[in-house]
Amino acid sequence: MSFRTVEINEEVCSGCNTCVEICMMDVLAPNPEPGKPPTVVYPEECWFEGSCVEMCPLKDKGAIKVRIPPPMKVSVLRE
Amino acid sequence: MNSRIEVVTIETDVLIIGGGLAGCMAGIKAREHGVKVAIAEKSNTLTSGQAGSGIDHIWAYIPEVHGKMGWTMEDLVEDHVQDVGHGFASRELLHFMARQSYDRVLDLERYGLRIRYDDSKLPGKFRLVHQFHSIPSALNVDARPIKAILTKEAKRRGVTLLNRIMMTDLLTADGAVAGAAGIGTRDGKIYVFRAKGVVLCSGGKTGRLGRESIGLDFNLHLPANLCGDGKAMALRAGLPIMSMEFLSPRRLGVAHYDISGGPPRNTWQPAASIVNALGATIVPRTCFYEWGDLEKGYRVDAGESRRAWLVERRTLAASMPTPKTWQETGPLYLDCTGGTEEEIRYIEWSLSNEGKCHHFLKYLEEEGIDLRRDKLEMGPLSREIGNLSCAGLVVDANLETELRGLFAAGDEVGGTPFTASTGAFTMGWHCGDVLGQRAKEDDTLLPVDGEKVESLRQLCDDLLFARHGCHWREVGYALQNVMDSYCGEVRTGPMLKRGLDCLRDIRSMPLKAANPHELARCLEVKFLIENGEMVMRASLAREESRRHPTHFCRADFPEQDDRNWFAFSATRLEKGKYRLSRIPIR
Repeated sequence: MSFRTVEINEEVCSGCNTCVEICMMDVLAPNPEPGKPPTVVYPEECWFEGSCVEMCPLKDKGAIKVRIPPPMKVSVLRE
Repeated sequence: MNSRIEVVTIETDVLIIGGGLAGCMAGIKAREHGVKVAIAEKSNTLTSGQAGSGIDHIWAYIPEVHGKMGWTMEDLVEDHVQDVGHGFASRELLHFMARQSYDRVLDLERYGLRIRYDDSKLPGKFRLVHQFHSIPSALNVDARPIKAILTKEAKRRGVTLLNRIMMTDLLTADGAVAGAAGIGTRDGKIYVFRAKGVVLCSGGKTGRLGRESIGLDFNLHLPANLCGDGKAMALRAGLPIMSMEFLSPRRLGVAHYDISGGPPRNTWQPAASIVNALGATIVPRTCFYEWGDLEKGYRVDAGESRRAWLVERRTLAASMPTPKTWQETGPLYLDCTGGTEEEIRYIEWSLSNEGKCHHFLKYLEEEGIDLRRDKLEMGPLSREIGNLSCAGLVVDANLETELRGLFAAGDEVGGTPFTASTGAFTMGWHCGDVLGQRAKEDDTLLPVDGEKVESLRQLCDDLLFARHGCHWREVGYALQNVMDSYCGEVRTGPMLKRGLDCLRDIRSMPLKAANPHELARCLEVKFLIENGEMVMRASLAREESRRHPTHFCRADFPEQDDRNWFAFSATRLEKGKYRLSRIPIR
């Protein structure tokens, strides 16, 4: 069982591993090759608070994203 | 047996277990005494704990505002005891927090927290709003970066921050604490700390004791790695744990996303109301407090304010939908659409500081959802030993436990319902101060219990190198099944006893971890089992039903029994046997 939650844009990510260092739920691991993007090892353990996105030095370029999967979708009433 | 696991021993003066708000403050203050201080943190202090991704409120008693109005600290404490605790609260500890609160806020400002705003007309320029008390006492602040601020200050002062270490065992000698042991969640080593004093502040909340509402196991209101670690450790060290029966039923929040912020008040004030599909108001919105001119002698009648406040709060509580009433009268929506632009911006600002709500705002933006135009559907959140609970460690007025040198701070402390960040800041500071002082005066490091360390090593060996065993998630689900079935929103003696039998089965399920990360998760599940057992036993002991604080329901004892049960329960583990007792509420 695996949800798509944390997603790393491999074209943009510099492999600095800030997200790995600060992930509260320890879902990420550094790539064995330095400078390469980290691996999302435990996507289903994400807590969805988005610290990884907030603290990413390449935040504005979208290096890392936290995707909200379908079961979490907010439904709205719009008049 | 030759263990393959490396043991690292660290000697320090003050060991702090948990690098949340309380732990960081404890470390910061302890260092003022010039002693060695180490914080052992399960994840990373930058983003850990309930305040990991920010807070929006800090309550405090501010003499230049509250004092001037004639609202005293006693009034604040009385409000808290009555409306938040419904009597289940320690006045003594609340007084202590109220006394220290403003000083801690000023300390935080010195470390870099923004607390003053030009649009405020109050002395000190604070944005003060209602949260827990009859008079607005909650400062709305830019505390999204609070953990970064505290981490920076702790580092600056020379606190040793050790991230990715999950503490698992308190080490004792002759009725005193000698240190603690734990495991590296990434390196798989065993860390043994020798310390002159220990602050236990691993957070008070326990989640994952019931199946999560929507199927994403870790999409919880609370950080999903808060598993009652400290309570389990303290129990195993022979200490009493208070009030574990108050495992909350599900309540309503923004459906599916499981977002916090306390709707429709707290982070969502003033404009949020709850409406049904026809637009009829179920819970009305509120307004910001009308401050009088403090310079011209504006004063309140505190007793009258409390009376009016309690009436309003009771009305709010009575009209708040529960999952049951929601099923009967829903769908229900969180509605901010009646707010002014200024009010909506205020709410968005608050949300941007309040933990997960920050990412929630981003999500709303991405989805084109606008609070000005869209009503958010409400639905049940997950169960938890949560903020309203007074569960935790028994401490004296100095925050010391029965174990000499072991202190507790923040949500880890029992009898302090919803004291939130203020509880953490004030208690953490005090513990750091006392232990820092003691460590300066005392050279003794007690011997470490080698057997306990070996036992932990053996356990980790078994988990990591066993050929067969269950995945931690399987056992976690089995526990949730038992808790939901036998210790649900309605409990009875026979069901709780059966639940305890089932728990015995769960304890005997062998676990297997593929790596240190999974090892930590296995140990979390073991802690959850301890917490679950305490919840069931304390529930069995409490032979009454009580609506507040957390809708405790014993179908076999449907009446409230204040004569016997207006008291905290205490669970203790002595030589393998659980003992329940009562602690009178003074």
